[in-house]
Amino acid sequence: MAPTGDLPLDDLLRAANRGDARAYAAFLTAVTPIVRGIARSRGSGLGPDAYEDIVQETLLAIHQKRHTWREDMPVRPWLYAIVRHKVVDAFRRRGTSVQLPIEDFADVLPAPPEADPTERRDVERLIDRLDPRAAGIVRAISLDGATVAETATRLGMTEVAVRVALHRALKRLARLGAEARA
Amino acid sequence: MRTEALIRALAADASPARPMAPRLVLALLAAALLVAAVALPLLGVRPDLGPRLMLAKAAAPAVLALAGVVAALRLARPDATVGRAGLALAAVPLLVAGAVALEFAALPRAGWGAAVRGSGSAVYCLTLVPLMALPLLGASLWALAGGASTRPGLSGMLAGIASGGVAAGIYAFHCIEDTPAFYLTWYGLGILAVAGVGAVAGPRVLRW
Repeated sequence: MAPTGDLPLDDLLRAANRGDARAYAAFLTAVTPIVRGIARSRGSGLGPDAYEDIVQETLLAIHQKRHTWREDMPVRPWLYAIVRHKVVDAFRRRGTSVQLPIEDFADVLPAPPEADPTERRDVERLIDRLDPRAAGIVRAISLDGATVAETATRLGMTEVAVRVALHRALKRLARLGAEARA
Repeated sequence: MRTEALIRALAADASPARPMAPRLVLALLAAALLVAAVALPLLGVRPDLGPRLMLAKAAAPAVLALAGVVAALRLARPDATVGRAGLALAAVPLLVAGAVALEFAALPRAGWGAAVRGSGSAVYCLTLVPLMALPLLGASLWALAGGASTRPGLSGMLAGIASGGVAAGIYAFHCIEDTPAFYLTWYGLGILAVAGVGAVAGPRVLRW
């Protein structure tokens, strides 16, 4: 479950920002129910799949901006500021304005995912807009759970080339997400 | 796609974080060298420019630029505010205004207008400072786009102040005017114009 204090999240992101992929996965996994809880507690009139879209857009933003966290500062205010920015933005682009007083974030209960029959996320529509090779790399690693090494072998690329392509693809996804419906 | 699947892709892209400050400083420095290398040979460096005069004229824009950079870097973090750098930003025009007050006190009232007008290069100053600042503004906005400002208009304005300050500092090598009143008025207006462009560009360029 989500860590209760500041310490675990701080340690995880600190390790992640030094390149530790396992710590980073643990950080994002711990952060997801917090983001979902905030999105769900603030929005009304949006379906359950819209919340999960907002969660994924926010995770992409956290990913792109993770270097803006200063390690000597607590991670939660930073995290809440990003979540607030993306959730307000996501609701605005869906035509709903939402007020998000940041002081309340700590009181929001983390939320588990809801049953979602389609699982056809906005992020997948964004992946469709990538060039085919970049889209293939993102799908192999996310949907098939392949490692970078396996993906490289499968596509006849070097690992470095796969990493670079993945990095650019995620950056483009975040940008497309911020521009969508703008 | 389930969110766990997305997290797998994000985690596979884990890499050491690149800090913001070097990126902004290097971008500004590179653009400043480029602008100086193009503009100064074209405009000409003033021949009678002693180190004391140069220091007096370049110090204020340099401090302004530094405060602008520090403030913009702070604001590039989503959870930060401008902080004390804002005080430094406000202090520079106040200090120059203090110098103008001293200058005016030593002049008859009839001479004040002439001190502001200088010897007729105001139009050049007002045109060239913003013109020279535009590449700097572009470079600093590019660098700041890697940040996560939640107040992109203000961030753009700060980038404009920093860029205008650096451009004014470069222009000072050419400028023939030495009165604080000229300096405050025309350099100030030039920098304000750049700050305005930055404030308008910020929300478009710094979206995330």
